Amino acid sequence: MTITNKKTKNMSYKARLFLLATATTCLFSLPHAQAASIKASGLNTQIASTSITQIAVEAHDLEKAQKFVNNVAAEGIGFLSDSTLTQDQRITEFKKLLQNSFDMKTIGIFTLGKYWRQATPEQKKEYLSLFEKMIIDVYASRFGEYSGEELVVTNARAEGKRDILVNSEVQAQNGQAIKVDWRLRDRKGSFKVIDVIVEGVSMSVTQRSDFSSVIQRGGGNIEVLLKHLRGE
Amino acid sequence: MFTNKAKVMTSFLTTTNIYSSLKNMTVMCITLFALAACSTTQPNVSTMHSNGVEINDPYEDMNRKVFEFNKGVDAAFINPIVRGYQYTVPDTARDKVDNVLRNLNSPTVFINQLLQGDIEGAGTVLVRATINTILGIGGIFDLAAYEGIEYEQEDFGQTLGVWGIDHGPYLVVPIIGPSSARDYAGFFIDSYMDPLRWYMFNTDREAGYFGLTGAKYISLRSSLIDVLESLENSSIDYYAATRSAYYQRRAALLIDQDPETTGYEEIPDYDDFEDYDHYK
Repeated sequence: MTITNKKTKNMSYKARLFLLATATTCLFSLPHAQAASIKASGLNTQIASTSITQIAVEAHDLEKAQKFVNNVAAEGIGFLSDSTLTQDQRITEFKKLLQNSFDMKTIGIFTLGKYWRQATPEQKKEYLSLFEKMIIDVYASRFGEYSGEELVVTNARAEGKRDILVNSEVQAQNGQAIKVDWRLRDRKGSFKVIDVIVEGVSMSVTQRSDFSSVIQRGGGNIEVLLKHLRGE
Repeated sequence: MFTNKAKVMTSFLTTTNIYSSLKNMTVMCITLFALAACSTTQPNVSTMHSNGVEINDPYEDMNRKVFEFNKGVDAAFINPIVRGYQYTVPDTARDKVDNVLRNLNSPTVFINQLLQGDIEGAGTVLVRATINTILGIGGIFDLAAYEGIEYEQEDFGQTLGVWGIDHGPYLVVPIIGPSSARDYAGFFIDSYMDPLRWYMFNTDREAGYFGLTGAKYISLRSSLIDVLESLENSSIDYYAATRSAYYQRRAALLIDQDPETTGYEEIPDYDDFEDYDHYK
């Protein structure tokens, strides 16, 4: 009897604390909620404008974009699963894939962020070639991790002012599927990948945060980043 | 005088079980402090944009120290445990463990879906939990997912986000890792609200609950270990890359990764190398 009494007492105390927390949360959230509703109304107009561009992007283009991603995946899986290839041959294939299907210049410039403008022409040139080399090195070291994953394209839609976003899922033999989005831009009549987004995490945005932090902490000098990329 | 006071104190302790109340008070204080921190925005302190999300990291120096500490703990303890788990338990079995843990998380997801006003989402949780608990034998088999009813990760951090509360300062928490004032507060509230915790604590099964928390942690780390490794390999400043990825991932979860509403940051056209002014 006394035990239950104690428990209910304790419970109501906990419940009171919880109520207090909720009330405080609500108080704090009020000004933010207002700001959020303003933001949300802004978002609505944004969504409306995207749906207009969506009309501009023809269904035909979306279909073409899906096919393009399927081809890129097939090419990638092709050289990854071919056990007769040596590592060097795989790297050659990978370079070809990057050259044909990725807009490395756009990715590289975006990744340098606001520092692109501050770089001298020589630094820009060196940066772009070092950036590409870094991408090749990073992915080449992971070729061996491939174990029969398959890519299934699920959807495509217009993204932003000029791009198409192709949604896909990478399915491992066991375990959860991973959502991968491909951002494509029309480059003189053919699609190029300008970003890959894994479970909502953009590779370009993440790399840009990384690079800008390196430069910032190095006193705002791009040379610091170039040194790292050169492997010095 | 003093002994008298102490006596009163001890009798007070035994009658009202102040120890557990104190513990709860501490949890609530941390939560409230973190929430309060959310609402105080510190401008001009290391703010940058990551996919439209503002990163606010006023405690960067401290965070970097904790980050290094966590890296050490990972290398010495966590990663060997996770690798051992992956080595000894086959893929398929680990998948089943994840299913059971997710199923046990249903009450938390359900509550948060309701708090977010996502009635459809709450319904999905109910359907999933029912199908998987009964037909999927206690959640071992995720039959609902085969039917296209997929798991959605919800937590109180996201609920606060839906309510319009922003992240507040970025926090790297010892052992737990990247978080923010908002998400860390949400983490406490989630474990506090969890009906399973209430049940286990009221039936003297605390040990079981802590075991479950440990299992959840190892399962989470097991799903992240390769991702984090590749992030570390592909970045120069691993801390900054992790921070950016954390904010992006949380933003994606907040909108339930809906492909129709996900909008990414505009990437300018760089045809002309100098045409960079319209992008700040």
